[in-house]
Amino acid sequence: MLDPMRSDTAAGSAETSTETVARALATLAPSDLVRLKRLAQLRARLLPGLEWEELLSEALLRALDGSRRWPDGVPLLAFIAGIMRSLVDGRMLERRRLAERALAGSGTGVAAPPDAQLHARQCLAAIADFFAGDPDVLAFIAALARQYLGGSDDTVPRLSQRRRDAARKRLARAILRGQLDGFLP
Amino acid sequence: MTDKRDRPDPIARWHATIDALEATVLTAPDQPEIDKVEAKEVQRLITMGLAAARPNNLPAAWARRPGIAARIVTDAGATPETTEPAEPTPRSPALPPRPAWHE
Repeated sequence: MLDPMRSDTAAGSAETSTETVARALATLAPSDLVRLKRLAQLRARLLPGLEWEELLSEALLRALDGSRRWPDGVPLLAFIAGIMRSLVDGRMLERRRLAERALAGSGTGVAAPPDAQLHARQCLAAIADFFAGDPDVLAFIAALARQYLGGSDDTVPRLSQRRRDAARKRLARAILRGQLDGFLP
Repeated sequence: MTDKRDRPDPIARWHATIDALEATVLTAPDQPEIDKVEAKEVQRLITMGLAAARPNNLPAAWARRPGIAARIVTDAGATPETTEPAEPTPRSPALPPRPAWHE
């Protein structure tokens, strides 16, 4: 049986892929629609001024016009999230290049724009504030983030499997209910 | 020597944090509470995306060409008013009564 949430376009053409994406999107459950919104909201937070609707719309168009192919076995939401990640990374690179060009004329050293650094600091501080009463969740986020940075998580407190699972659940609930997004700058 | 990754800049840390939160959302077994308004918001974006991506399967002869639409479908509000003087009001077919001396 075809799983609409996973790509099943083995050896299929780009056209088949877009048709499959269209079918899967049209049959998404309301809970997955909300999940998709949360993913867009999170990713859009990386770029001040970017609206989640704009990001999600652009990602959907890329998925539907065939410029991004849905890889086999990848869940639909992960596929769309990957497109959004790529779009945001591209825009950040573009902004950085513009800043570099502007700084090149003034002879100042090349670095990330200060407003981007400030925004990142404010967001990290907001997350720390939001979960200030739940150190397990903060430790869980820090450990996971360290993995994405490519480092070890030796510097963050180790949690038992049970506490780790419970922290993950509380974190997921806070994000899915939209509580965390409303707290971020 | 201190590893550079031990003191990443805030942008890199924020990136990694977003990746971590995204992974948590993608793997969360719990279903989010469904807010119908929010679900409809996303549904609307998907519908717009599907409509934009839908291929035009009409035969070439049916494809709208520039200028054709304006001639076939006229917008009442956009129809320019004529600059010519209005045509005279048609006269009543009833003839005036003839003078009595004609008879």
